[in-house]
Amino acid sequence: MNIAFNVSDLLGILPVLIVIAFAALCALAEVFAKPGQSRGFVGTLGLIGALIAFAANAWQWHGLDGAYSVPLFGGGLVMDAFSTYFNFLFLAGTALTLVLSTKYLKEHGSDLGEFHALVLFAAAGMMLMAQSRDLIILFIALELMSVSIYVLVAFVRKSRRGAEAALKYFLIGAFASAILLYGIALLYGATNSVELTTIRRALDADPSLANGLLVRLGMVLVLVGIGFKVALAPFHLWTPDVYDGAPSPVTGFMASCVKAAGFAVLIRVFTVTFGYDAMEFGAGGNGWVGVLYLLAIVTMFAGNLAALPQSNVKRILAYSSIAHAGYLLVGVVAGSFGNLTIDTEAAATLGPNGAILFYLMVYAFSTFLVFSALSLFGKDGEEHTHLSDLAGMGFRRPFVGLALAVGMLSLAGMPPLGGFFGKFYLFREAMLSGRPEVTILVLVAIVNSMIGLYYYLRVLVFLYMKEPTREVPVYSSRGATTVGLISLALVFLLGLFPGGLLTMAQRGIGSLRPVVTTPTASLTATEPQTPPAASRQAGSRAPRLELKAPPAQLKLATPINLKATTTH
Amino acid sequence: MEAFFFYLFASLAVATALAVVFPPMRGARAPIHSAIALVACFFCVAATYAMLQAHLLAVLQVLVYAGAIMVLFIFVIMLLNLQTDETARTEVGFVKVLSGLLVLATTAGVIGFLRNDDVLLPISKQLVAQVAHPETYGSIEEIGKLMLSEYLFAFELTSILLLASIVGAVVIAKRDPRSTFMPEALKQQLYRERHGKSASGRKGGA
Amino acid sequence: METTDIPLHLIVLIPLLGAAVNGLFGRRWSEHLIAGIGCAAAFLPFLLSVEAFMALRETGAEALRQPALFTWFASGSFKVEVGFTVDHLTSVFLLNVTGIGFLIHLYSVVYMQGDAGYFKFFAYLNLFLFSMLMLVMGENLLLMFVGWEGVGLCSYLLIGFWHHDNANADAGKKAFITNRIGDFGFLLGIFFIMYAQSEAGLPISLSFEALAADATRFSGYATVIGLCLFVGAAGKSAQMPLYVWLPDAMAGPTPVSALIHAATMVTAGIYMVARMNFIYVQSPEAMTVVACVGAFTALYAATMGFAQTDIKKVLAYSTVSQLGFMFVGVGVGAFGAGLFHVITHAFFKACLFLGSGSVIYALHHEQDIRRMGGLWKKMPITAWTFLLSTLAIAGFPLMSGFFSKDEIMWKAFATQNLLVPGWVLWLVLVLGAMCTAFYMVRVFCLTFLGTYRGGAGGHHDAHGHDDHGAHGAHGDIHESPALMTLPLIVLAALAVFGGLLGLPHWISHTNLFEHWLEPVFVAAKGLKFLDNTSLELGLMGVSVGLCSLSALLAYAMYNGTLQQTPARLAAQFQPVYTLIYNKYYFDEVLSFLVVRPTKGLARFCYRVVDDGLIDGLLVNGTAAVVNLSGRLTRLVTTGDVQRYATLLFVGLWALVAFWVAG
Repeated sequence: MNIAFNVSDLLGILPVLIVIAFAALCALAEVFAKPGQSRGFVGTLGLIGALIAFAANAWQWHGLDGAYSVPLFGGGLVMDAFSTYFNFLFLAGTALTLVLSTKYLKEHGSDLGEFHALVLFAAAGMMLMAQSRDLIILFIALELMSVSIYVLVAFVRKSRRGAEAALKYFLIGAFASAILLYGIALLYGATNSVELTTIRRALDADPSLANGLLVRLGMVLVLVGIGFKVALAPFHLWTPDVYDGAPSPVTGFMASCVKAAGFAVLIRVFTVTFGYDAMEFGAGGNGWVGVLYLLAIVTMFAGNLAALPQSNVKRILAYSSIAHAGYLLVGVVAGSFGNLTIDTEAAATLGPNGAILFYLMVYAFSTFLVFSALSLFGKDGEEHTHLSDLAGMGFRRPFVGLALAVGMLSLAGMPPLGGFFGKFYLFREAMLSGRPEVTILVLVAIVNSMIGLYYYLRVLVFLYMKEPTREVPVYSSRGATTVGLISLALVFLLGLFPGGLLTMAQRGIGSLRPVVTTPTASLTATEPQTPPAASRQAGSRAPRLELKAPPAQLKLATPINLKATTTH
Repeated sequence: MEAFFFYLFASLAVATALAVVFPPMRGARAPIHSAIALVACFFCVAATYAMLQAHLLAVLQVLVYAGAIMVLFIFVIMLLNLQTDETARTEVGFVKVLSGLLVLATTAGVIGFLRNDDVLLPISKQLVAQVAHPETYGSIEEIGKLMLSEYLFAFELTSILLLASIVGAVVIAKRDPRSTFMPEALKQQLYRERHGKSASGRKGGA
Repeated sequence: METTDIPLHLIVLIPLLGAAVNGLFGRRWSEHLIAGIGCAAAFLPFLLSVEAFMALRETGAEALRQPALFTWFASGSFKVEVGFTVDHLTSVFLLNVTGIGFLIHLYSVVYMQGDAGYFKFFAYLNLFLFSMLMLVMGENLLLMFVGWEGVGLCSYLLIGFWHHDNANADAGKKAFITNRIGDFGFLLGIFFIMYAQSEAGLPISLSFEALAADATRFSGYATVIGLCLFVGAAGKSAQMPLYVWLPDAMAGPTPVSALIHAATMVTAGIYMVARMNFIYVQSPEAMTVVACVGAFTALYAATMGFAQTDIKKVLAYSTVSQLGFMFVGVGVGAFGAGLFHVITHAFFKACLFLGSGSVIYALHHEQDIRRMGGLWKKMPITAWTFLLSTLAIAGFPLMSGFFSKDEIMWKAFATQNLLVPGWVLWLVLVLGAMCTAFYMVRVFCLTFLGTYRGGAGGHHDAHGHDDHGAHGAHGDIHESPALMTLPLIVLAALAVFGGLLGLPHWISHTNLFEHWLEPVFVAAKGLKFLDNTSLELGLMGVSVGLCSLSALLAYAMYNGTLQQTPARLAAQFQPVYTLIYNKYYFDEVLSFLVVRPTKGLARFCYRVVDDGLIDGLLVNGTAAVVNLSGRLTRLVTTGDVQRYATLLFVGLWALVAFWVAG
């Protein structure tokens, strides 16, 4: 394969490029800052970068036509509504994190411009994770995200716990990355490719290979690598320590964006690529869904039960994030039943996955709402996020209390907040998949969300029903207020008018379907056909992206008829 | 002949790897011994790579791992100046037993895995396809071409990853957020000049 | 379905506005301003409700509706809109909720005076009204669920209103948790409805209009849907075995008990069953369960009324029992009768609660009836209204409770729609009604008759509560202020005359109330009942007779046996008194043979089921789970990196063993 990229390939990753450029700018700006000068301007620079990237992303979103995806760089990357949806999430999360952290860093004596650079680097990694259709690029993007996050966790120099958490995260993260890489190697060994479409084609062509030991082991190892990042039990043990030790804005960033990136990969790699024969369980089929099924149950219980006795809000939120990963896994399981290649079932499987996309967005804003308030508790490297530190805060700082309370209620899934609708929609879609085993899973999830209420409400009890026992430093910050207000508005809006975002999520998930191959494709077809759209773009030098599907491809936009169309 | 060298290097690699975990001598110098054993292990692995016609990989293994990274390791060990009591924690706990069992199980698992036809057949199929051109297979030229064509993006992305890592490393290494990057001793000296002699309390907090 | 220009959404939104204004800004305002806003936010919806009711009457329309405010969400063909409708059933609840709600707002103005959380209280009350109105006016099941959750939340907040006391906060939690169990059933029911619709090839829709139209097409699922929804209803309306939260809920301020835990919120379950009548009529199984659970609760809770000494707890058990009556009503298919009892019960129970509140207010937060007595003269208005309501709830002929309760009992006897014979239900209900009459008269006697037993130096009963002793000057117990007695008088009047709305067919040709509700229960037209007026009258005579007997018995035992009964009271009730006095020894034997065992049974139920099963298994069980998971978590999450890495590897191996090798 030759060097196959041109301007339109670069335009396809325009938001990523902008983010990386601004990350470098931020790092550079730090060099020119005078000692002792406030680094707020670096944060502003980063924010501008995130917003420009957001605008570029919006431009892509509008340019993309329906459920259509554009391969970039010869297929290693892709720009589709799915990745663009996730980019919205990452960029919004990045912007909120940057706004939230400016004052935080000052209060904790770590006002360094590199923070903003690293947040942007991490964002670039996440965006590429969502866009990659190549396991090597995926791995490097994941490392880009992880390395940045490792440093961010340890960013507050005065915090001993932060350093300890970062070290732990780094050590186990390196372990998990190695496992992931080994899994990728095994998949490469089995299919002679690291490109997801080619892998899929190879698996489709040879069922005995797809069900074989090699592929299975490779998938398990990949699953462990990704499961570590999204904190699935039993790979979740680092989560409470790291979430607790990390600076609060970073914890928020991790809970919302890192998790979302992991799920983007999970959907693209598992639901779409390994969708082969997913429902067969045991020796007959590949049956990876069964593994996720068990993981979902274990994860939900591990998160919710372990959260019960916690007395530190950040640890509670860490376990809650584990539990939410479990709920999301319910969606992945439900959405993976029925092969994505089979037209008739495609529509049924899209629902739960679309619900995951919606849920992730709502979860992100609920998390930021909570952390916009929680990040205010503390000073000089020490965060005061014990439950008793919150006592009486609902009346002493009404808006801080309101943000925490609404955020917790949204995470708990109380109507009319976004969290309720996300959960409701996810479970509903899962139920509609119509399989009894999924119904049982949904029941388990509902039982779990009831258990969850206990610890979310405990926070409210402390906020509004306990007298403060000691004085804790709580600073005020316009940035945090802004983040809080934006998130608050969105949490309510998404609960009351989820229609717009739902349409976006469905469009996003709809764009995954073109990763479909003809059953006749052979194992030797390592060279993917050049898709018409790509060749057209390669031919035209027009600087503007031509993203509209050619007429022959138009039937892709209609939801169901996909049979025997090869576009990748 | 090839088999002889393979088993030679393989068993040496295993032996040296064991020596990393269980340094032959106790005491303050045990970490250094471990590090040296690791270097030896890297060399053995590099030799195995070379025998697999992965010449570039073998060279990189020696240059990067046995060279750069190990030197760094040894520097760090020397700078830390570990005391005996810190290295001598050898009590056998539940976790250690469990880890040991896991290692054994994994070893057994990998051996079983490699003997399975399910695994061998697909891999050998790929190998046959790839080693069709033995003269270029694994050569630096071929890898270079691949890196700048098919894996161009990944290759470029790696540079971003390195950039992020450097920025991260600078952050971790920086001592005081208010100062630019400078050695600790120099900084303390500067501080003393600015604030007179009463800087002793400052040391601990930095 | 008729479009109207009455701003229906304002009925819902005004209380929300009131809650927001009071809650956000009320902290520094004077009590007058807060009370003014709070009451206005309850009164305006009442006026609008009246207007809506009149419009329904005049146009003869089945329902009033307006274009939906907005589309909540839509996915594919499934669309949920936020819109409000008022049909005949809703209009009844609207008047009930806003009318009684307004009266109780008025009452609270005085009752809560001086409380530090005055603004919060009114904000919560308004928020409750908002949720409750949303519940009854929402045009689809999901909006109803939102309101359902909302009232649960408000109830939780208001029960724990005086949360400085841990017991109150715990009671709030108990209510919330128990209700969540019910909500779980409700949600499942919703899911099953959607599942059934998709199975039947229908477009998925949760609006009541569509459901009512299509219900017969997924009748195969009627039983499971009905049962799931009933779990929700049983949670909210305190039926077996989810009733346990209601007695504890009395920890809240008394107006809250009156509004939420007697008149409105707890009837939401009956409202739901009535609203979903088209599902229930298709499933005799579900109806049987509803009716049997209702009947059992009616008797069971009534026996518990004997053993209680807290005036509010007696009323609470009584509420549980009366709710059981209502469930029997809707369960046997007599939806109109069940709902009629909802309304009359709202009148007399609200009056009873407010009356007890008035007493508690006058006695400076004394709630133990053994330490009351002799308040008849001191608080005449409270006493009279309490007496009238007691008569109403006991089913004294021609009072409101008489008509509604007997209607239910007759329908229970006459039903031919269930899997159990009607006379069993009837028998249980008669026993329940007897118990009701007994404990209500007992409460009345102990509270208002006899001599005052509270206060320092007064008489103490055998149980001795000297530690409560210092209550200060009880000599000047006097009637509550007018703002408190006014609602009492209005409610008592309604309790007495409310029955005229639903006169049985043997008195008046048309039963106004049931006739009004007929369009809602079209689906129930096919249900069969016995039609035998003379048998009906006979059974009524039997039940009235038995209830009177039991009331007289109670009077004898709790007023007649007391040596200190003032002679003038004895003289006033001379004929009755002598009659019962002469039967005294017989009564004592009876009390030994029947009442003591019953009390024992009640205590057994209370101890074993309440303390053992609920507190022991559920509440302490929760604590145990928390404890256990804490220990497990500590075992795993030690903070030791090596351990984490090892466990990660264990997890990996588990997956490999499970899937790759297995």
